[in-house]
Amino acid sequence: MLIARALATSDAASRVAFGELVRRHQSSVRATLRRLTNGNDALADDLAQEAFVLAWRNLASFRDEARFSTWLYRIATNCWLANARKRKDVLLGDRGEDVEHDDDDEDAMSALGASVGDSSHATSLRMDMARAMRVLSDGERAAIVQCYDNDLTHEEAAYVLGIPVGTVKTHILRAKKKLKAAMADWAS
Amino acid sequence: MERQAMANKGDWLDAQLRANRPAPIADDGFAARVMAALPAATRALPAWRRPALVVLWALAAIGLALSLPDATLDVARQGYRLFTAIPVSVPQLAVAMVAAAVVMWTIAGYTLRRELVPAR
Repeated sequence: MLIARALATSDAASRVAFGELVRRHQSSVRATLRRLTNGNDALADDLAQEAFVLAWRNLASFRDEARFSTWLYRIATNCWLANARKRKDVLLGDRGEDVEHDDDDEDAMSALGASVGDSSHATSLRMDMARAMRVLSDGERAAIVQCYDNDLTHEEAAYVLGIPVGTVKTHILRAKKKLKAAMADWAS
Repeated sequence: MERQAMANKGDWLDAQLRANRPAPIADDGFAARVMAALPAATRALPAWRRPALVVLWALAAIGLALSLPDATLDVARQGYRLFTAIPVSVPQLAVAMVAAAVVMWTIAGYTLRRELVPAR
């Protein structure tokens, strides 16, 4: 409904409708990008803004074959990939071990822990999980984010990431194996 | 105690991943920044544009044919002669159809190759 209004009415009215779409989806898009950028909030927000501007420019090409949110995740993921490729070679394909550790994420994890208002136990669990997520390759992390954070099916995640469904499943399996190893203390 | 409970839950990691979803992020002026950065709308061509163009081109062709009847008939006759001058036998037609089918399936297979290749 909102999408139709954003497409079909006058410029002013379509901006109003698109503004509502931005307000509805900003949280999930920004959260996704924050995960993908390993907690770099400033970069994630810049990429989210770029993604929404791209969505506005290409709104006419949106088809009902995917949910609007899924379409947005795809654009956001492409923005992240384009940005990451400027700095390093990021591949979402299945290429095994391509882990890179960034050293500037400790602040992000501390902030994550500090922002959580629950028990220290839950906080430390969250921090360990965030740390464990850094062990994953870009492709594995992206697959986990889409399937668990955004609750997408493997097929939807494949659409968002632009990779085959089989590769998404492989990423998920490998990611969970690595996460289980990294979080072994919590399981035992 | 909580750790033990988690371990007993079977795939505790699945549960943890779902529980570890990021909290909602407050807008804090983000939407306003996005709206300020939006360029002027680039709209899709209106839906009536294509049929209107087809009708206009058809009218132009009919107008041309009516204004130059001799030339139009001449072109039509020559086109018909050219078409009927090429002898096409049934076997040749069958070979052409098989070749077209092979090309079509090759293109379809190439397009779907990413889905067909099993994950490593």
